[in-house]
Amino acid sequence: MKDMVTARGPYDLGVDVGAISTKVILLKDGKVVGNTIALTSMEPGKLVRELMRDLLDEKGLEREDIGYIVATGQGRRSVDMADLARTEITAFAKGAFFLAPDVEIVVDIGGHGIRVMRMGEMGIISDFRTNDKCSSGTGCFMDTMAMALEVGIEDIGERSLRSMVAEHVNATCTVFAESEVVSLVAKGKTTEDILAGLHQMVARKIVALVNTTRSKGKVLVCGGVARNTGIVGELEKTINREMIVPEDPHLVGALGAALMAPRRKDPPVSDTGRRAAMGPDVGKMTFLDRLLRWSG
Amino acid sequence: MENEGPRYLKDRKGYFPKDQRQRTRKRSREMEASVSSDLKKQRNRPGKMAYFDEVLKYGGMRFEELREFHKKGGKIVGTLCVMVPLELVNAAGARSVRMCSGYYEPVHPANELLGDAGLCPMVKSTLGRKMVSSDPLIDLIDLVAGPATCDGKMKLAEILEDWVPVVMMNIPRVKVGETSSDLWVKEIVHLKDRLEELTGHPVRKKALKEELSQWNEANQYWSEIQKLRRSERPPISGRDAMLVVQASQFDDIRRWNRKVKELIEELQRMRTKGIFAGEEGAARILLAGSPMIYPNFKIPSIIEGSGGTIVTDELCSGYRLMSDPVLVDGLSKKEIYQAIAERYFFPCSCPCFSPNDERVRRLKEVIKAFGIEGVVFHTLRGCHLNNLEATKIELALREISVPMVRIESEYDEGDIEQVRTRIEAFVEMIKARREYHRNPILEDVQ
Repeated sequence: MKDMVTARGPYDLGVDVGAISTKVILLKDGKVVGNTIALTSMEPGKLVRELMRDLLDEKGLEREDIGYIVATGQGRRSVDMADLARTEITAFAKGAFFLAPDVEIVVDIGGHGIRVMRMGEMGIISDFRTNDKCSSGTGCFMDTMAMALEVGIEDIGERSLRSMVAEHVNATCTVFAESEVVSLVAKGKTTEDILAGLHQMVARKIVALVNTTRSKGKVLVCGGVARNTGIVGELEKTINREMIVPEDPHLVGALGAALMAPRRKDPPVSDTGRRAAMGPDVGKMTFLDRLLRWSG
Repeated sequence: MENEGPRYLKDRKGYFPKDQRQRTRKRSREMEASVSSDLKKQRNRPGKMAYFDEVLKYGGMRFEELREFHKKGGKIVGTLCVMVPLELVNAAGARSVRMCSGYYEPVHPANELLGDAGLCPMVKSTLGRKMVSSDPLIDLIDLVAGPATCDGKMKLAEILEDWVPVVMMNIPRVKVGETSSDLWVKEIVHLKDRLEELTGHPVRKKALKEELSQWNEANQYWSEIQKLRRSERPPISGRDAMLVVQASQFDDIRRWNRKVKELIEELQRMRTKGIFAGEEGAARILLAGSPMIYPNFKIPSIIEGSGGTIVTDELCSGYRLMSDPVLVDGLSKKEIYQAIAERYFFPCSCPCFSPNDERVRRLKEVIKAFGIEGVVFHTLRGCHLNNLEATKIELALREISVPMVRIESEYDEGDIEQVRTRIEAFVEMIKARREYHRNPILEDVQ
């Protein structure tokens, strides 16, 4: 048995083939060695191979150094070289538990889906829910809105924070919300106020989903949309409980996947391990800290 | 009422083009064929299942039989819910056929008539089937017996009056009090009168008692199958079990009894050899919620294709059809009707009833008896009653730390991948829990 383990390289590759972007993370002994990200293409298998090669070249490693490849995300089955494929629900929970074991609810806001996981003992999900056939609040939704407002997706968070009085957006459907946004623009409302209103609407929707779990515990928010400081700010205001956002929220799924490599039955959940993985003071950061970190 | 003519489709003539009927028929036939071929590919499938495939086949052997019967002047009664006493229908000399449809294509003509209306797709499909007569069987039906259960079913029965005579049964939806059971007995007797009127045969006590004993025997066989499913390695898959019990709604119950007996013998042989219908280490799932009528086996197929095995269900398209025998206390006709009314009212845990705490109690009992590791609660879009009860059930299951996942589905194949992801995650979760939540070892039932 031991021989088999040593026969495999010491590195594990976590691959998260999301609806919009593909994230790859390289892990060694519970520490993140490197990561890369690209837009998901029509051939996820090929894309992952390229990303892996880039990552290995960057770190001066060989293919043999990689022990296990674990895939997750909507395109997990297209990654032919993966040793294991697990759903994104399991992967995000795994990653989140590694980062903050005391969290009770994990919210993953991805490109096409919102997933809320309630954590049980030992980081095993005890319950989860997802958005049902509705893209409202997802990355795609925010993309559409940013396009309607002619703002870059990376700027919407920051710009919404400059709003003084948020406009009220009622529609949750992507198409109707877009037409509501267009009519607000026609009324001469500022982009900042409209964005703030959109973020409020999204936050309300996510909080409603979180509340259906009937849990009052601490929340960790991750997934690509958690990089949007506007939504994070609104969530903090409405969620009415302790909430943390890790530094690279979009990588949590890939991290969880890498942690599921079969050799690691029990991932090292220590403060040092966590800090090493995701930067210092994760979970302790205030909203302002994160804001400064991202905007700077 | 009968003279007023159509209300929902006054301009019925030529409303639906012929090619729509052809298309609906073709797609329905194709859907049934593809679902059936998937079922046949299951590993370790008992050979005796072939008979039940044939009974439910689109335009299959049973349809030919019913057509012959109808041609000779026999009457066929369509039933809409599980509260219609099939014993009574058959004792009156008619044949019963469950009308609820699991075909996807007929949803479209119903949408054209009603708009989307947020209505349950099963109701729409059943209506659409009649509208374009997408299924040759549907045109043989002479009378529809429709208990006014949920809103969808009640209005479905009303709309169907535009095409075919309907007996609307006023089922009491409040389950307590003397008035409820009195009313229901009267409704059963009313159904009997309408059946006698239809067939011209009086319902004789002897015939009724004979039918009752046949159906009670069928219940007995079903509980045999359930016993086999309780074992640690069930020799029959959840889909096949659903197929067997749904076949009883179309078949001649005497022949069904014979065939099920043969099936049980085969299953018992398989069990002694240790043959398991599921994947090794499969998660033991209970299926609950809205009905899944053949060939709408989308969700069960996903569950059993993603490392789960459906050990039992609590659906009105499965376990609930055969869960209780009719227990007659006396010999008088009145007592027989009383017993039938009780059987078709009190044990039924359809969410249209209130109070319905019986459902939660039974569910907890079944979970314990069958060693269930997780519950998949399925609701059809627009099934408000199940959607509402899901919350109550989820919280009740949390108390006994049994996880539940809610899945909403429609009559189309667009959401297969989304549903699959959720079911896979659910199975992964159950398997991860095993290391920490040891389930009590199942006693081998015999």
